[in-house]
Amino acid sequence: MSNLILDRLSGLFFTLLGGLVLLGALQMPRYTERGAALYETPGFTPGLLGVALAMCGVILIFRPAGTAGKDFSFWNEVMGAAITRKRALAALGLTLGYGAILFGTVPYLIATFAFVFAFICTFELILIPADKPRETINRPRILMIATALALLVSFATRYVFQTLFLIQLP
Amino acid sequence: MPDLNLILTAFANALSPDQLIVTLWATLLGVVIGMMPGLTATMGLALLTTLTFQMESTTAITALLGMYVGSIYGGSRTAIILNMPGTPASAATTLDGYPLARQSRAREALGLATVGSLFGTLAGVLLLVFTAPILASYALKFGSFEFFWLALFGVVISGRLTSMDDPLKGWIAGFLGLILAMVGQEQVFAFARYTFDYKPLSGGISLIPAMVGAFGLAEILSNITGSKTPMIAENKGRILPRAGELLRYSPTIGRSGVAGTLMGLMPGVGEDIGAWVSYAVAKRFSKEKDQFGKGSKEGLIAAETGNSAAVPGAIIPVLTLGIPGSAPSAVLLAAMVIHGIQPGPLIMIQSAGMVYGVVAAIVLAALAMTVIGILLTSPLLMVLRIPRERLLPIIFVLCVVGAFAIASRPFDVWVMLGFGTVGFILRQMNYPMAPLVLGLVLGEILDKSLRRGLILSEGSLEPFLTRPVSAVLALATFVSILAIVVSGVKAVRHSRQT
Repeated sequence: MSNLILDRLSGLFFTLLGGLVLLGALQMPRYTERGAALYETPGFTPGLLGVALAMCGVILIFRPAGTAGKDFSFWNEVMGAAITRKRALAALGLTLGYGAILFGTVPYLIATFAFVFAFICTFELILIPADKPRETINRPRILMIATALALLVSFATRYVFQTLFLIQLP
Repeated sequence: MPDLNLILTAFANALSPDQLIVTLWATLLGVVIGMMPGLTATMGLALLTTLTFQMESTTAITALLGMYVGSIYGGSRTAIILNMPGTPASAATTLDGYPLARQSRAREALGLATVGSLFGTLAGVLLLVFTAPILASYALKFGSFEFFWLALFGVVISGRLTSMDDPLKGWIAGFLGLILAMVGQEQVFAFARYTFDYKPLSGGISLIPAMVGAFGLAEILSNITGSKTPMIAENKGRILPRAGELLRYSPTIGRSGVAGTLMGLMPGVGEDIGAWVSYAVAKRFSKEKDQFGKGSKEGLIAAETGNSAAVPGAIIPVLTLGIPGSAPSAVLLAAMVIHGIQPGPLIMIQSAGMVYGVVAAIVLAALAMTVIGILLTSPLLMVLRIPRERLLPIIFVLCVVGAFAIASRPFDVWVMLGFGTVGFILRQMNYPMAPLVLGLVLGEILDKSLRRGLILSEGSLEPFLTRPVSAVLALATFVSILAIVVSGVKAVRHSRQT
């Protein structure tokens, strides 16, 4: 996907977002019964900001290709190289899975152990960097390190936050 | 003029054994965090803030300042050895640092960077000591009109300078931050804006989880995605620069110190721009312009002096105006509020001792950083050998627990995840994060000042444009926008002609 298309798509997104912000601002109470002027109303500043964002978005959509900015090498890499795409998706899945699902629903120690262990194994055993030869990977050693580190991290963070800082972890 | 007695008292307190220990460990931790690609100063500060809740306020601020000074400096280690900036502030350092390392002069480069950082920090501190009282007394005359323009100017200039190739994206990020700051209860009618009847949103979006996400999770995702293992340069040679060499570069150090501090002073601009501007200024005045980018010691020292000088520079508006000069200083501002310190124009009247306490803590952190940098060069470089696949999950666990620890509510974890994911996507499309964060900090000031100002003037815009400081800030804002619009129009015409 070219930079220009990405710029235009993000421009469209920000135009719509600015429009929605303005719409939300217009629906806020005006407090005219209390004698409030337009500039006192809660929606005044957000409305102006919504217009400003939408205007910037429109410029981004319609500006010529020459000002599309620097090369988004990451996107080109993600679209091109399978390993980069897989690493990006795996990192997103693991972090969101731990933060949004496991943390708070599963006991902290189990959730954290599972996350750290899965993260290390995924990126050191399955989705290894392209420039690292597969034959140099020592599977039992990595599994041992992943287990030890996962145990250490889950117990140490629980001790620091729960015992020292008195923060009740889920 | 600065109060000498208060300065001496502040140094006496900072030199007490317990404060010295705090300075030492926090600076060392900062250096380590700054060194690791993927861990930024902002992230380090945000995570450390969550660990300082139980600390006494002076100790907490000392620790955070040590982390700030140490992490900005720490980035230079990675920039020189790996050709990869440890923090964005060290990007300019790679230009000459890594070529020097490739010439088997890595230790020399590390030593020069250390001394440059020390002098840069001291230059910035000197300017802090002299300008903070003046700026604070001047800011006492600021009303809603001036604060409105200051907030708007901050977002505009931050958007412009942090996204030099594409200021429009910087402004979009800034407006997005301002809009996000509108979420929650407003101050005039206590109306809950954009909360969709979801209670946790009525308190607004907390800055620390947002910053942990935008600078922590986004960085983790960018870092782990990269599929190449970095190459480490050889670490050989003499580390301490010769006195004659330092004397030769003293004009560069002076210029970079001033340029870095001034860039730090600009709201939301920060250390990375401080380094780039200092580098550009040094190149302009250099007799060896052709050496820049090929291993110029002058270029290296300018970049490092510039980014370190921006640290005290960014703290000046935090203390005197309650407006952050950079992303890490926005965290520092939030941490100060958490610890019961109220930065702003009244600070020199209500707690001048605290301002000089900050000065003393920065100076000692700079000295600690120098000692650590000189004595622990080789052991510290061992840190760079830790595989990112093992380090990043630990950091992410700290991001999650740190965000949760602020108010013990899962909502803050979701805020962190949201900012991290969106921040990751936006960064890949060259949207800078600093204006977004600045917008989040300044949104409340902008809204309150605009509406209060209009209420005071009964709807008239005149005082916004005619009061002296307002007029200057308004002019600066319009000129910044116009300059970009004019160059954009020229670019359009040029592209149509060709």
